[in-house]
Amino acid sequence: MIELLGFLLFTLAGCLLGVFTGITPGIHVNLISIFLLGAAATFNPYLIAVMIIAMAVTHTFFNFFPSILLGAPEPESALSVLPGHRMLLKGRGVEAIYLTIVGGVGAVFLCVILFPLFLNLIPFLYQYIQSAISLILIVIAFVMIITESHMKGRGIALMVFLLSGILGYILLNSYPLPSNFLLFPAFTGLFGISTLLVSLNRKTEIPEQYMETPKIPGRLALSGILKGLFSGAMVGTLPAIGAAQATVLTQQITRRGDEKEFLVSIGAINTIVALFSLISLYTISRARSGAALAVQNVLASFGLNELLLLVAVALIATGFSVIVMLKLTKKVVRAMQRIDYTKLTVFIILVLVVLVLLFTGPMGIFILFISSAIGLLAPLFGVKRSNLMGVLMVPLIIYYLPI
Amino acid sequence: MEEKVIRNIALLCSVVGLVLLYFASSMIGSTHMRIGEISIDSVGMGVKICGIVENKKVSNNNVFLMVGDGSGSIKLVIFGKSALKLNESSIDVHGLCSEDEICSTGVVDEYPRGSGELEIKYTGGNISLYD
Repeated sequence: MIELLGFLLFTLAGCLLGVFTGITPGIHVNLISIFLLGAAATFNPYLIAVMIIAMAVTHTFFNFFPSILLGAPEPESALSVLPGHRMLLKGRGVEAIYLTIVGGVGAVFLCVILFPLFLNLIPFLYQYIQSAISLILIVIAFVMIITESHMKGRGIALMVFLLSGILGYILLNSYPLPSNFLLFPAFTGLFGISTLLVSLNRKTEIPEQYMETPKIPGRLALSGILKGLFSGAMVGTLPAIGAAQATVLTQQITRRGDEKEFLVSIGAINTIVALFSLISLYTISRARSGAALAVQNVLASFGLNELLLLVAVALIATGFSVIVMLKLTKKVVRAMQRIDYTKLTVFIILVLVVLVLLFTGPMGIFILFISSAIGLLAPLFGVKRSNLMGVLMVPLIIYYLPI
Repeated sequence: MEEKVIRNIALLCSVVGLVLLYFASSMIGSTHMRIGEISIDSVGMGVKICGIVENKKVSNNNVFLMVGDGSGSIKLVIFGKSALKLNESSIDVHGLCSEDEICSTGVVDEYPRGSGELEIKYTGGNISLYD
């Protein structure tokens, strides 16, 4: 009974930490996991593992607050900025966040139902697909570029993809920053500051927001969740494919212009990746996320009992996150309306610059400057912002090329 | 999908999670084993052993205890950081002597890999004097 109480307390503590990491731009689960690993010598390692997973799952729900409402994303939610922000500017910020919640909780629900299938599927996929990672990434990049509306757009998309790719390649091969923050300035610049600067230039104002959560058609929700589940399975199985690449993949298989379905998918992906990384740890002994890697380090062995324990924690964290977010979303969006958006945008830009300076120093600021400039190219030339994902895809394509 | 449906699914997730946590938490933990029963198949398992300290070595604050219980002997490794924590919280592991009787939890490990030599790595929890 005492053990159960301990697990519950550490789950709750992990959930609260996840809220903190989720709503704070620049503070990632991996960073907090490193500190928690240090506590493993004092506490029962299982309690630490429980805390890490509760934090990781809760984070995947709450990090849509800064990405949609403030335009300040992390790698996993970077591509949600544009459709989410667009909905906010149409007065549908509550709906945008609600769609990600539907995706997250729906994906967890489906994943638990399909749990036995995934236990058998992941080792099979891992065995047969891992040799084709480069090819898969090249195909995704090709589809991303070719689906631009006209020839000139395709040329610009290729340029944006390659420029961000070169930036990523330099960062991931020369390690100019501490490894925990290696991509923080680049993502802040590519997806955050550039979006905020465009908003600032357009003198964006947040219109009055619809406060009712709409009824989401079951078909739209199911379609978005299934696409998210498929992409999540890729992440859980394949090395080098992370939530960001899975999102790019989902964007390509989502009907053009259907931003609602995309937001459901992206909500599903983030949460499903947290769950799949546990299944991968059990089935193929590979950690596919920072949280899973921390769990692998803290627990001496990872068997079925450990998997069930952490899936239970993930379910509780999901319930906690959804209920708290449903309560908070309207209040937060209402508060946003009372704020001068231009001042808020300037404030967020300053906070992001200070965070980058604090965590990565002058070199980080230099990278932030370059990445913001590259990030501005996509909206200024009217091509999809997902082409900026070259920052991760190009280095991985090169790394996994069989030469 | 209405908000009410989503809230109900979230509640269902929480309830299923709590039930699963109840069962999983009872299955997690260390199996009490006689040292002689520990074999190469036990590598990676969490175990609890009780026995007599046969000898002790300390190196860079890491404590290496040879523990025997009549059925066999095995090395119990307590790394420096854990040893210091234990010294502060429950038992002075640096002060343990031969013939002290102790119980400890840990994970069975093969070290060096492939050598067939087994040891128990202390991973957390209390080490208690045998009562």
